[in-house]
Amino acid sequence: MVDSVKNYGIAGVGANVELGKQGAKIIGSDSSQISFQDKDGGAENVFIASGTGDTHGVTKTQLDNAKAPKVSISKSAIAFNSGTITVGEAQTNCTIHSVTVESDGAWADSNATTEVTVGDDSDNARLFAGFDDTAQVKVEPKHKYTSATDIKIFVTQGGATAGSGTAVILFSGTIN
Amino acid sequence: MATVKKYNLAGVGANVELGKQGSYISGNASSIGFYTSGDALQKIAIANATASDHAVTKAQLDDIASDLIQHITVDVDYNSGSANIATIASGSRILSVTVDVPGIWGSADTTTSYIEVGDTSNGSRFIRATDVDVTKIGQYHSQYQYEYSAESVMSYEVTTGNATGGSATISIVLASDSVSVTDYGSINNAQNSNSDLGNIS
Repeated sequence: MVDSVKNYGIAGVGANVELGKQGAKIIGSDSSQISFQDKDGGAENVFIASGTGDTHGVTKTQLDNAKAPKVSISKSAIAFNSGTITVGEAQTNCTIHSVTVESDGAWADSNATTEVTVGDDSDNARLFAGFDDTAQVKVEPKHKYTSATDIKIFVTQGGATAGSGTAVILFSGTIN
Repeated sequence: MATVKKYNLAGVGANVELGKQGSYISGNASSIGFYTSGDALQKIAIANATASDHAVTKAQLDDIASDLIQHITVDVDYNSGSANIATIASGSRILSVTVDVPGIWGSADTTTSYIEVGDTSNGSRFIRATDVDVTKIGQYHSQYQYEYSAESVMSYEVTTGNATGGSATISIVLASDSVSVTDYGSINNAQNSNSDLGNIS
């Protein structure tokens, strides 16, 4: 077989075209979209250049760069007996702007030992301490992580027998 | 018609139609385009990007957009009265409300002239009558956070009292999947709604 043939006069091919033997496929049989699939029909990644026009696709790098300086929110439900909750992994240069913890106002039998802190394994209260089950408490740590670090919520039950709440983290960068 | 596979076919025309009257791919030196048979841009179905030069899916875009903070600003005058600001979806969380008074309101006093910001259930949920002093230039800031468990309409009310002139800007920072800013009246409200806080890098 000739190594390759080029026929620039071909203006139409089958609706579904395989790129090389057992290769990726371009599926055009659906009039509403064109799909890029692997040989087994799974969705394929598509490599593209960075988009510069309004109708261009964009790359993951462009999306990540657009998100990086923006402020995002992460909300986590907590309960009196949650123990330790992993919020996610803060990536390098992720900055925690504020942490707000609020309760449902029904933390029965809570006492001085009952506490909620937010931080990481190195400092459990790096980002938040001072939980008050009767109020909304906000701390602005402005802490920037210099390496990937798990952010965790630490609930110390103390005497509490009931209660729930929410921990809200405002951050820029990425928490996976 | 029999299917033909020619794996050594390495070149085709610049515009290749996928099936009879199907979508087509068009290539030139600077871009490759995907079009419907009617020459409109066509959607493409792909996997979620995992590498830097992969194209991203709408799901990846939506996932990021849903976490971003939004803001709404509304300009009001001393005689604006009351108006709705925006309809926000269930689950939206108001993060802060700031009222900026750029100049002292004419003839105003602190007891009869004031601004309130809240919603249709509680008109002063975020800014109460006594929170903003329109007789002094300043920014008045509420950091109280409130999460709506059902769709709601945010609103403001300006009580003129003895004031004869003056203006203010109300800024709301919130996290929400859906904010519908509506021009509810003839005044210049809700003129600015952005999906983010701007590029601060």
